[in-house]
Amino acid sequence: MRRLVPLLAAAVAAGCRGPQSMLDPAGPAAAAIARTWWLMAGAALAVLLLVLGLLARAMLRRQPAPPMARPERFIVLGGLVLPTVALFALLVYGTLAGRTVIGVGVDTDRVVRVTARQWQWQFEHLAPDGTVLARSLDRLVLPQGEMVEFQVGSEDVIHSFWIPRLGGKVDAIPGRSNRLRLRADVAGAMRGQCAEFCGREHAHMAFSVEVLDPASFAGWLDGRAAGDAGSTP
Amino acid sequence: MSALSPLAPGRLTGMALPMALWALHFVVVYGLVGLGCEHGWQSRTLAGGNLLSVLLVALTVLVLVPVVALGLRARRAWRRHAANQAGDPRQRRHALIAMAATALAILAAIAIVFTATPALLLPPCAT
Amino acid sequence: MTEANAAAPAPPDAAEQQRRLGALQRIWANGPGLVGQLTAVNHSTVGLRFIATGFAFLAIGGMLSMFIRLQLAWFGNEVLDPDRYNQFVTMHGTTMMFLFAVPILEGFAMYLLPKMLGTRDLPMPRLSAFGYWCYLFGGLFLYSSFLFGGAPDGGWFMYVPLTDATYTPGISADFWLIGVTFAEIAAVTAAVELVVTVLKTRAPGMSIQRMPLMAWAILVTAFMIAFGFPPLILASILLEIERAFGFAFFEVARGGDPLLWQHLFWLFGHPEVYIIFLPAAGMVSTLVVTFARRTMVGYRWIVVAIVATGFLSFGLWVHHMFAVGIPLLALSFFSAASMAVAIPMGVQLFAWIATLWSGKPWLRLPMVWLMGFFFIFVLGGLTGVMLALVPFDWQVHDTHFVVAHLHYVTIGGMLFPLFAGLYYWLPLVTGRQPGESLGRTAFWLVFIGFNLTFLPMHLTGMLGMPRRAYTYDAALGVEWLNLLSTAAGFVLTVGMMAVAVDVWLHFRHGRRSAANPWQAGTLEWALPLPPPPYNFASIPVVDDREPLWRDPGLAQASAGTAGLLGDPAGGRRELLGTGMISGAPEQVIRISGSTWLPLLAAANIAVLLACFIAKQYLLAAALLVPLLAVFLRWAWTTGDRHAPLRIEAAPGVALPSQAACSQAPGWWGLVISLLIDGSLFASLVFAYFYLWLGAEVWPGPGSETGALALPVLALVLLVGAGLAARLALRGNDRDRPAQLRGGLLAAAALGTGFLVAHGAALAMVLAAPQQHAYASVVWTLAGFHGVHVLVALLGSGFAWLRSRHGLVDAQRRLDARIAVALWRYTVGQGVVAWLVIHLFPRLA
Repeated sequence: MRRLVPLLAAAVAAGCRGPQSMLDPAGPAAAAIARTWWLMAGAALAVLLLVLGLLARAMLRRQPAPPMARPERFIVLGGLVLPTVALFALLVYGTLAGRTVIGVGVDTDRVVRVTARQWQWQFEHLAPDGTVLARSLDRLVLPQGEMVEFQVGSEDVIHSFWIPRLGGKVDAIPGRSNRLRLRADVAGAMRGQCAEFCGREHAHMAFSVEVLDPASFAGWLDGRAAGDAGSTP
Repeated sequence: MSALSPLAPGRLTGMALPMALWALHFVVVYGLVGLGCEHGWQSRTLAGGNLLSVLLVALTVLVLVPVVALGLRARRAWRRHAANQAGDPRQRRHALIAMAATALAILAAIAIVFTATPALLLPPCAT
Repeated sequence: MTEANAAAPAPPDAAEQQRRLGALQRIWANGPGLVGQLTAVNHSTVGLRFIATGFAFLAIGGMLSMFIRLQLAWFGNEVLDPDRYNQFVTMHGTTMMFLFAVPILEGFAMYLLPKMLGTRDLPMPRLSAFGYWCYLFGGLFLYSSFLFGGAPDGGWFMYVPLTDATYTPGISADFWLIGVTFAEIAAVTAAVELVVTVLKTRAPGMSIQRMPLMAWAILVTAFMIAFGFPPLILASILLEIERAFGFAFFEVARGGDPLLWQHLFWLFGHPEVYIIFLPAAGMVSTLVVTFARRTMVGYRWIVVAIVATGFLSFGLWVHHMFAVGIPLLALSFFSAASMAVAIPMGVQLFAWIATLWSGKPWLRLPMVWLMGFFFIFVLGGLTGVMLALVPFDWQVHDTHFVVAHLHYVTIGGMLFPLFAGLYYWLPLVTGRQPGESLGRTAFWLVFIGFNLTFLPMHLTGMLGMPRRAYTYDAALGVEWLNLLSTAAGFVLTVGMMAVAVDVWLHFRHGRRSAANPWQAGTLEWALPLPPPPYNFASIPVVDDREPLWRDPGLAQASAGTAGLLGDPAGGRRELLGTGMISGAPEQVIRISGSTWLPLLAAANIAVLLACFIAKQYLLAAALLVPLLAVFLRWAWTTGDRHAPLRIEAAPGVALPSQAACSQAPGWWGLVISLLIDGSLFASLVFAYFYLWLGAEVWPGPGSETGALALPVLALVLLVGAGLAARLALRGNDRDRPAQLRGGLLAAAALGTGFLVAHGAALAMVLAAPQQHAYASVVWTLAGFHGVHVLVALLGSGFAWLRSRHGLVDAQRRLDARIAVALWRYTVGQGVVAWLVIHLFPRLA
């Protein structure tokens, strides 16, 4: 049993890998959410087995059988008290997880302006004074270990900005600028995609994400700034 | 309140009243967050907390009082009707509705506490 | 037993019995031939039509989904091009929600409720027939878009700006907006009809604590429709007039807000899930009792759960909008409500288990389907709780995880109970006994096919596959999961076809069934199989929740003509009206028989909408004239306008006819209709304030607040109209017909004055509605109320005419009451609208 668990965990982990897998987290927000998922999946399985067990017990009693002794107490305990307690615990846990995910109390290191349009993503690294340091299309380059604030907007219809391995999504809505803060802790390549249906080429509105270690990132940014910031790679 | 008043615990409307209070509370706190964040109430302080969170908690207490009172009143009515129901179909009908009113008051109170819990755990306007 | 039975005299002899049964058959039967079918209004006919049409749309929607699955079977497939894929996804969702799930449950309710409640028909049969035609024409209208160069392709949720005139030019989105709204008329009319049925026409003695749980479920569902559908109807109207006439509600550049659409849509969309789940849960409660062979344990807990669900489901809508950028705390309120709604679900679930545990469970075919329901629905409910968690939803929102979840709750929570109910009630329709063998094979195919299709989709979504994407990148590594889903989808399809074949064989070759084949306790099984068009020859008297278990002689008694309403002496279709809580007899309701009016009205609307979509606006407006004529004729011929004041329900039991009864179904129908209308109005006021909250300037550019004098005059005129109407009713109650008619005329004159004064007041200060969201919403608000003034004018004219014909007096007050109630409501709505339009901008 003790050996089986890590083995099983390894198998599950292999099945959960992917450039866009929320179960293969590469940052604190995604990691907190993935943890929440495994916790909830376990609890859900327990509830499902409990209900099915009770149902089987109810259906398969050998007749004649005595009726349930105190059915109303069964209903109140199983239907009212148990869910209330379990859901309250989940609500508190989920709310606190939400705090972690949005990074309450964590400072922002860098700002990237994200502009969505049919069917393209534009990323602009901003200096503290708001000037554009680097601009790229359908390709996002991020520094490892920095908290990046994305300011997400749209030029036409509603899109949704989503890098599953880093965290949740936020919609790109015309007339609004939504904020999303993400941190990548693992250098390497991953993928992001538009999650809100946005018309014909919705399926192809994806972008690549490259997480560089701080030195390489600084080099990349210098290279971009030296050249024409408006050009595309 | 007379037994014939539409809000009496033995009437359908009276039975639904605690849930209606939940709905009212829900709409008001949701509206308040929208309005308060727009006007920066989260950065003003009142009674040791930020104005918005304190308001939300106060509203919750304010609405829980009548919900609990309605629940207790329905419970009394339920007991009364249940004790008299032998032979009187009228009492039996009202016993059912009063019991339902009691249980709905409990559910409404739970739902209100659920709604208010995040207000204690989160800064009001963070996105 | 109640006083009604005590009064029953000696039974009629055999010849008299035959005469009465013949008369009942003649009075209640549909006409012969095709004409008889087109004019039919009987609840059994209309209910079965809803059910058959619903299954037809299920088959069509199902076929669309198979194309979707084929396209997604492997990455880079080209079964459908992206445009076609988007159309199919849109139409699949739209069909299943609007043309299958809601209408078919209404059909079941319409067919079953009168039989379960021990009455002969729905109290407003023409209304339900009208609803059916609207549903059918609306569905055909929507599908006709394929013929006119393009079905809707904006998703079943139709988010703006993608669906506005800029990003979806052409008429595909108009087909959706108009077709769906047209079909929704059926839902709204059904809500009115079903509330009145449950509250007013139960068998005598069926007091509130003896009502079948199915009736409780339908009652709460109908109220949810009354509050839940209007936001979507309003949103569709707003978007359509933005598309057609250039108003600004959702366009950012002119002060609109695309999120307004989402709020209105999901204000409908989430309750909708429970609107289709609650009736299904009502079926579960019915079947569990029959197959546990004992009365429900915790009946009252289920009642509590149903009512609580009805309320809590309205606190969930923003959980479809967790990613739009609302503060986390505000999201958490909806998260909390989404979790709280699981509690009443748990209560129901444990009450069902406790009942099975306390009874002697009987695993017949319908029960097998319920076992599938328990497994799938619990799993769907659990993933639903997960989605309520804000951070988790941020990840899986708009992915295939959600696709999996929603199919678990809708197919598990609705389709499985529906099939259980189908097999359970089939003998009632056909008089034949369902066979078990093919049915069980079909069950396993559907159950296994379903789980293998949708269980892997949870993982597909978590590996990063967004929904509504016509293909996916090989890099995601989800092609094998998708292939599995597609393959299993075909197993599911074969299972569904097996159900269809099974039902077809049953209709053709099923073994004849004895009465009450399941030994059930509720009233519909007291009927002879198949039931006669009048259901009960005598209205049964009930003293238990499962009356057939308590009184085995009930079936025979209600098939004879010795009891209540057994003698159709008046030659009219008659129902017994009873007290809302007590179930005590209080009136005899004469309802209308077969007529062309419902079909004419619906066809007229269909042509009108076709003209509208073809941009023939003048023609469309002109078609309002024949429509009004049809409705006038309809109102004039409602029930029996020459009914006596009192009608004998049985020898010695004389009850008022509905025109003379304060609790007339028409009155309650009006109350529920105004509730629905009030919800529509509230949605519009919500839209006003939502736009205000996001606006930089209010009033918007080009508009101003102006002087108050003219608006105040208008308000005075409006309130005056309301007062005149009150005086008119007072005159009627003192038997002064001249005062009634004079008051009505005065109200109409004052109302007309209001329209002129208010129109002038607005024209002076408001910009054109195309200029800014402010002008758009204010014009719409004023126009909305103006339409109500016109309706009140028509109502007054109608009551005036009825009074002229001597059909209204101090005893028969109904028409006058309705006309005056329309004024009271219109004045109340007008005061609110006035405060919003004229006072609020001065304060803001």
